[in-house]
Amino acid sequence: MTYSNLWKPAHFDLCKPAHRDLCEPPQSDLCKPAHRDLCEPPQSDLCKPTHRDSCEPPQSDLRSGHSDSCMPTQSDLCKPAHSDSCMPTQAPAHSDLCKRIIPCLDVANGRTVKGVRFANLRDIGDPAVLAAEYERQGADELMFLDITATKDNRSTMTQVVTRVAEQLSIPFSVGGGVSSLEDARRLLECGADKVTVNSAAVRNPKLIAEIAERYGSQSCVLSIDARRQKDSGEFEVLIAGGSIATGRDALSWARAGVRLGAGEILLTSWDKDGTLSGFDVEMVSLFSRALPVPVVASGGARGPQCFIDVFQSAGADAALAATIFHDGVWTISALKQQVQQAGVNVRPC
Amino acid sequence: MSREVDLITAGGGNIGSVKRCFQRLGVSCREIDDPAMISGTRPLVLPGVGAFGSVMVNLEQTGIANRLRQVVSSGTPYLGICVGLQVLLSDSEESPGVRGLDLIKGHVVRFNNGKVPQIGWNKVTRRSPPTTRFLSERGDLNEGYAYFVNSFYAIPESPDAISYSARYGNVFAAALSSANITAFQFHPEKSGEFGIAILEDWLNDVF
Repeated sequence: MTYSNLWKPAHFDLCKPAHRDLCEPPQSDLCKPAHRDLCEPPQSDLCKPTHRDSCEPPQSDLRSGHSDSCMPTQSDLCKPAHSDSCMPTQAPAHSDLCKRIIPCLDVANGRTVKGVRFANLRDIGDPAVLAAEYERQGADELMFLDITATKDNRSTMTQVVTRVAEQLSIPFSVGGGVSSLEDARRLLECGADKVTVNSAAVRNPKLIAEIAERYGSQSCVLSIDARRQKDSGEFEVLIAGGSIATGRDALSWARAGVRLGAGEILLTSWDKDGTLSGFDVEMVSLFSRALPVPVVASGGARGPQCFIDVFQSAGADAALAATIFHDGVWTISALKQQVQQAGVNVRPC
Repeated sequence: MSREVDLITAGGGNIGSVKRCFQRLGVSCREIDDPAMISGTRPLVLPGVGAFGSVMVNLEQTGIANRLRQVVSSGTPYLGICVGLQVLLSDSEESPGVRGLDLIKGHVVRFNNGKVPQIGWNKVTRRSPPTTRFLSERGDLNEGYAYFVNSFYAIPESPDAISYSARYGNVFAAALSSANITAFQFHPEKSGEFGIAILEDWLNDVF
């Protein structure tokens, strides 16, 4: 089987006529002709500010954009397609919204581990203990990835999530092996604020829509492991912990994911992961400017300058790191101080 | 005496984190999905996940909306979070034609610039001087960082109802307060120590 067989074009081209019908509630005039045009595969200039005015639907069409709450109603599922093209992709000019710093805990069999390029795992400690310590240090959010994610391990992970939820008073997301609405439900009910989907969403993109529809876009993070293509300047989606190359372009997959309802994109550079060689600023910049939802940069964090670059030059909304925090190279508070001194707006701790 | 609140679950969504947070603060939650369960003597908490329209329809169909209008008008303390704030207003751009609880006159509108929804920590500043009774005069509550996930925000007819403001493109109401009503657009249960301090202060006020 070739990987292209995994891709049913139907899932991606939401704006083709057949799918438009699915998206449009009969009584709605949300997809007026002018806006339908915007549903066409992304044009590079659609997001330019000069187009904003012409993109802006009449007031009445704005109402249910992304519901607050972000629980899309049935018809909300197709809205991101419109907002995708119309919405600015940067934080507004006068905003105090902070850039987020997110420690990531890879979890295997109930323990935190860390490897390089998803291999050579080392034991780092109890996830719940580390989580509490990171919150104390000033983490803005936490991410847990179940990197074994076998069926046997599910109850172990559920217990970890329950213990973490009991002590944390900041948001956290959980991912790794989330392959059904049932998996998402289990984790969210144990106290996770968001679930992160990756390989399963590539195989079955409707999973994103199902989670977003049931729990809201804010609960659904699409995680993409992207590998730089030689020469082309493009990025390919890898799945199954980096072991399978899909041939799929990462940016078009991110766009499709947002249209389906993903509320954030976690973008991991396979080339940089665990290497301490800095974030892939060029890749993050490409994604964060093209997407209307927050982009969380991941892979390669080494020290304050990497964070400053990825926030200031690449426009990332959040940045994730594991090794430098686990190894005690940087505490989050010390890192934040440096980043703040460089003029990045972060939450003081 | 044990502290107990009526936690309205009919708003839908995941109420677990709010419940866990109150439990850690020594408050137990009675889960309410029926208007007959609302005593009017216990403080009410409505955490919100959901669209304005679907939450209001749910509250109306169960009869909880009318019961809320009745007991909150007669002085029962009410704490709203996120959509639990928005439903207090008269209506919302999110769901045209749907009437809110209308306990605070005004409208809910959508952010018109920046990435929407706003996701993350934003700085909130208390109105100075406070024009309505809101929380104690604790100095550490004058300013802080709170976790938001919202596309919409409230514009009350009376600006005096705004207790905290924040900036996302424009200045918007991060929290409202009116007599026995306290409501946050952000999630205090996910806002670290600052959020916990605000909830503790509310609890000390109502118990």
